[in-house]
Amino acid sequence: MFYSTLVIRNYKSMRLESLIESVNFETEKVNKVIAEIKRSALFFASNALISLEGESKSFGEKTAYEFMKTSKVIVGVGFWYEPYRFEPQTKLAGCYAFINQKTKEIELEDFEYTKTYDYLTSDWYTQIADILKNPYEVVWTRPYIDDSGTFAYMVTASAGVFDEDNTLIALSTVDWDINEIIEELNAIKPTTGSFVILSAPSKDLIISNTSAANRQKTAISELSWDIYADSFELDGVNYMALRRIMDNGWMLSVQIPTKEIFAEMESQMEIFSIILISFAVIILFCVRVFISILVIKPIERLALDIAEVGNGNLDKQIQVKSNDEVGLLAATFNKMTVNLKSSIEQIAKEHAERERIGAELEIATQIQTSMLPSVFPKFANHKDFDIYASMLPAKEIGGDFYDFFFIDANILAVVIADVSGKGIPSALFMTVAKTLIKNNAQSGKSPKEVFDIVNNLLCENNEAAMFVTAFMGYLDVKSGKFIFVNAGHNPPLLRGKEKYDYLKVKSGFVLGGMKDISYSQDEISLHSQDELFLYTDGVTEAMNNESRLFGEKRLHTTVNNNLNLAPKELTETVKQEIDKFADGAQQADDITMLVLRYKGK
Amino acid sequence: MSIIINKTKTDEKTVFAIEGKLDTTNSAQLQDELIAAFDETKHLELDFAKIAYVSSTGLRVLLLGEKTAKKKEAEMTIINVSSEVMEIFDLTGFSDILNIV
Repeated sequence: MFYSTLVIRNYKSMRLESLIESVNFETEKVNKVIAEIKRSALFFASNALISLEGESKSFGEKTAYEFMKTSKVIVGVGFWYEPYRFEPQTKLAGCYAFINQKTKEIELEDFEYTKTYDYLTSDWYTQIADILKNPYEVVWTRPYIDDSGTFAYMVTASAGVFDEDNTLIALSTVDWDINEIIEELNAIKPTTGSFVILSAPSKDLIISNTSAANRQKTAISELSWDIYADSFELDGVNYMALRRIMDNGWMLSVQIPTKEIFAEMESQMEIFSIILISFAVIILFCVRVFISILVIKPIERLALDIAEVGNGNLDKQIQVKSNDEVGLLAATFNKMTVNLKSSIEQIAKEHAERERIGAELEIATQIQTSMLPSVFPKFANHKDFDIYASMLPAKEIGGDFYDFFFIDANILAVVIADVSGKGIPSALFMTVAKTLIKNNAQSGKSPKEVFDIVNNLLCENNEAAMFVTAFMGYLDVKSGKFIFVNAGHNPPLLRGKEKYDYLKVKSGFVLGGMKDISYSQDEISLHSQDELFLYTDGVTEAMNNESRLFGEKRLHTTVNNNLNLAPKELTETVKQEIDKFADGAQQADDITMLVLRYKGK
Repeated sequence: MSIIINKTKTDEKTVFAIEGKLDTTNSAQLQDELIAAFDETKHLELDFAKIAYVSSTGLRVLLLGEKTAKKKEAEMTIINVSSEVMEIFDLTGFSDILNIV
């Protein structure tokens, strides 16, 4: 909006400027013509003097005639003497050459002719003679239509010849056909409603408009508006005037209706707007091309390269190297690619390391499992008992273990234990505990003595406060006597005549927890077909997805529902029940079971 | 799922009211808090009212707490032990070692 206002203002001043230019140009032209006419008037005044001094009529006649051959705007030239001034005997003397407007031929009114033409009483002569006062002065008549010779619309310029007393002897006349200049002035008429005024020094007006009929001879004083004002109102129309004063009081003035300046300007503005819009469209198109070359192309290239990087080629470096944001983006992306590559390498390295650790943990689990007696049936030569045990490790290596071995020919030791926590520390602690228990048991100590010693040994340097819950019993396979000790472990289930019940066990503290604990052992007598079911908390604390525990009650019910199963089948059935209960929940802890069926006696 | 430990401290003692399950996944949190607590107090009381289950890892942390208390000649007591948790303490012999009120 601001821009268009600026454009309008600029346009307006430009339009005015061009008007002033045309007016100036016409003024200059008219000025030149006037100067030529002035020169001619003076020239013919001097001719009048030469003719007089030389008493030569033919000189004047010839000069006037020849002059007319070359003149364009001058339609008639001549000079005229005051009465009896040329010759004492002749009242009227002069000559006049002119272009006959009808025939376009040069005609000459010679001295002979003028003798009979009473110019002295003519309007133009009296007018001139009245105002002509000084030599070298050129005067102008009012515009008039010559009805005698040229029939032109004209103005006559004149200069005089004076004697010593400053009395007029003769005067020249140069007739200027102003039709032509009026037509030219019409051409500078800027709008349809405007008009051009040429004002003669006599203050008469020659109003120029399209038709010659509108030419008027009016005195300035008779005008209804002030001719000298820059703007005026005429018949309800506002005009603006441009004016130039020329030599000898000639004046050129252009009157333009203010409205028409704007009207034309508006229509010009429409064209201008169209041009402006077209220009804007072209500029936009250029900008689009420019953006395409400078921005979109690099971005497309960038996208292509990024896609290649995205497909896994991290060695790809983007080749956009401009100093703008796109270049910056490309550089940043290149940096990112390098970083990404090193990160991926790092991750791959760490992944490999984890794989290695994972593999080692798996081996550790295998070693741990393989430390447990796992080939069944074991002790096939002993018909007095059946034994079966299983340890199902959780995903993460744990600390459960079981063991059974003969201390001497008749005494079978069974051990089940659970090290606190998980992972490698637990596994290592378990190995130590298992070895210590077996070694001490095999050295002929009672269960209580074994636990007393092993507890103290495990307490040494046990900064991590790890411990193991353990149950151990000695079965005399001949007598059925079963001596057992419990260090914080789950009480075993004992099947007597009819069903399983939890063995009444006085539990001691866990192994490795506190030094100098005195464990107490108990003794029961097993009968033929009595069965012990030993387990770790991986059984009773198996969880389902609702974080509920399998529990001792459910275990109790399960074993009592399966009284007639062989040891191996019993452990499998319990595991099935646990799986059913867990309903897909991940096994969190090792599940260890040991079944000892006494068959002796 | 972690446990929430609400701590209140008086001149006399520090009380940890613990909520949740003391198992493998979150016992380490309690372990750090327990050991740090004995730097500032001579009597730490563990409120087990909102403890439903203690795994062997949880027991180890309690044992560690008890050992730290002994070493620093401080006292660790456990209050509001539920019957389920008490069963675990009894079974493992922890009821003889821990100061259960």
